[in-house]
Amino acid sequence: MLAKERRERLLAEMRREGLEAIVVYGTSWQEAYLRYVSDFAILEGDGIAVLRADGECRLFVENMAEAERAGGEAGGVETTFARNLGRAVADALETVSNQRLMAAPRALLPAWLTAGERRFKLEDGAPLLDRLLMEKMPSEIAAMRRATALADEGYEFFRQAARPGRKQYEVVADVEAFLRQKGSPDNFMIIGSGNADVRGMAPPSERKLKPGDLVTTELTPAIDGYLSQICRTLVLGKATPVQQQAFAVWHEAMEAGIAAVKPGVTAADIARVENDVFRRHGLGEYTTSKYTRVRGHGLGLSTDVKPSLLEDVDIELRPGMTIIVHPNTYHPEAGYMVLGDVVVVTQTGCERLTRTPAQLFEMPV
Amino acid sequence: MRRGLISWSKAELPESVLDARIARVQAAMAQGGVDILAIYTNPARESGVAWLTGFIPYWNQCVLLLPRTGRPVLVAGMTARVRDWIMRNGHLGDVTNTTRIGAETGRLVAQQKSDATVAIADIESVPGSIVDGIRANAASVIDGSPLLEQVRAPSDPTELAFAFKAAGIAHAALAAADGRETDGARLVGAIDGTARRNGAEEVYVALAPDLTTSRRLMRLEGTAALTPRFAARVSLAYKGTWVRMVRTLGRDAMLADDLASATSQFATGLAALPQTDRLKNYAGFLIEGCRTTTPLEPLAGSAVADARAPAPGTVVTVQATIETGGRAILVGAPALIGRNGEAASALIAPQFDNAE
Repeated sequence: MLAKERRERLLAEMRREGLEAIVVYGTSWQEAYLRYVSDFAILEGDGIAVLRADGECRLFVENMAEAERAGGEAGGVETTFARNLGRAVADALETVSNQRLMAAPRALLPAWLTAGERRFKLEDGAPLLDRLLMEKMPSEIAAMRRATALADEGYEFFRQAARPGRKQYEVVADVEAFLRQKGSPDNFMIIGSGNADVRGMAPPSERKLKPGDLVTTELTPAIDGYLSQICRTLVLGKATPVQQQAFAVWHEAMEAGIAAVKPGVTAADIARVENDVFRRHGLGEYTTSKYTRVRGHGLGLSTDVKPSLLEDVDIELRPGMTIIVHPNTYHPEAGYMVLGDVVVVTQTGCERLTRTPAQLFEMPV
Repeated sequence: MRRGLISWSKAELPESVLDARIARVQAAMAQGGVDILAIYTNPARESGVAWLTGFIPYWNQCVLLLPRTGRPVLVAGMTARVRDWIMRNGHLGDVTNTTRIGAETGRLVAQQKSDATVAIADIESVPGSIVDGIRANAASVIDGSPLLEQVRAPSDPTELAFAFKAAGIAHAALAAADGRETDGARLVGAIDGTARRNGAEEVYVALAPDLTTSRRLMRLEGTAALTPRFAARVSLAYKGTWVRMVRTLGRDAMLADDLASATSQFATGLAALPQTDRLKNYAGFLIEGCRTTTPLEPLAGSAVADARAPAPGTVVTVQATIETGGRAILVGAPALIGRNGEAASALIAPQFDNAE
């Protein structure tokens, strides 16, 4: 149902733009456009979907197991196995080569498709698709609510699983099993543990959790393709005054950022409000790219939908956007700390979807 | 995106092994007149760079530039914040972090040699922006796939050890599946969790919940009721080496006899590889393996028109659908293709205790 709604919305936009076809590329770390158009969640290899203005959708994949999956999972889509995606898609576009075509993301398409000697020209379709990915329909927001509720449940499970003596990857394995049992097929998750020596989160390692560790995680389960996220920090044992004081800055920054979310403000405005809190506390250095990637970001059919919350991103917030505000960064005495809640932009402000308390959790050891 | 165990174990993958692989590649480059070999990597196409350096990206994309002499350099799409993590987890000379990966790759090519011949592995699959960045800064650009394929086969003992380890994890994961289970999501959770707890870097589980109506293996979104005969496939990686295993299970009274027959037929067909005549008698089959940068590339199968023979001494994954009295058994396991006329052999037999 969601897939059908999305495709109809896109087809309406294509008619408005006078587009004959839109070409979208996807792979496991750039899955959103392909999922939007074809409803296929690609895992292995690359895939390219071609949606025609008349509603015909063809999906080309280079992995045979994926072709089998797509045949059952992507409704209303004709799937083709092709060793050479670029050439197969180019052949499919030959019949419409003199009409207006778009592609997204152009930078990731195989060189064959973007080469100057092709008879067709692929305009950049990312702005159109990004807008649809960002400004969600009510049914998409409902899916985001379900995914956020599962993120809350997942974090509660994580808190219990993160015990001294357990290796990072064992904790993550438990969380993944929990999420699969809840019907969530996908999750993005990174983790950090330790103290001032930890400067960020990464995929889980063999490191064993120890009493006194700050344990950080970004947990991002998917429901019906929509990924929502939670960022929290816990202490194995009692938090030290340094950890508490540091966390208070993170909390103040996140709340300030969320309070600023409303239609018409820009992503930069939110990032600036968060960073101003750090600057007031003498921690401005830790808001730079040396220590942090973004101060939050959009969520939806991928873990990193636009807009990125950064002081140089001028995308305006609009109703229906779902974003996480997370002032995650390094503290010179406490180490890397994270805190992030998901909100949906409403007509007048925003609604917080995350229910887990925004606190520094202390876990008995 | 990856969220299983990713770490470079120097005990399992010593620097000397990686140095030997690099030396093999550089010797082939010298022979072929190649100045720089460029290998693209992302979480779906990790196998070339992982084999040469041990590095596996958990998200985003990178390009490895290997000069004819010297250490490889990684051009990474991740921010400089994760530079230390990358250097810890790969045998690299240096890392450059950039958001303009095509342009930066081109700049580094020009910096290494002004009139370089650059070979790009799997050039037809590499994003155009990266190929264009290299083309603009090289004297000539050629497909590096034959070069990489030639030096990767046969698998070296370290690569085989990873494949055996991955096969063991896959077997343990499917052994954790209970044939009495009726809820698909619970079954997937048991398989996925077991694989990750055993050190899998990534895990994909697919189910055919009712083999009497469909043999198609699919990923669950939500759950599905498991019928008396169903199948599960686990696809997983250990340190960049991917395998698949398939198990049919359930409560069907005919299952045990059908399994015995099918696994026996499967073993016979598998031993004959790379000849596929016996496999062609099955209702369906698929052979996948890694030649260059793609982990499980389709090599041959009942639905693969342009078959490619697996190289002797390399690991493949074989899946088959075998019918007994019209009833289907799905079976699959990784296998080692024999050298010098030796029979192929399963890395681990696709047999399970059906009382589980």
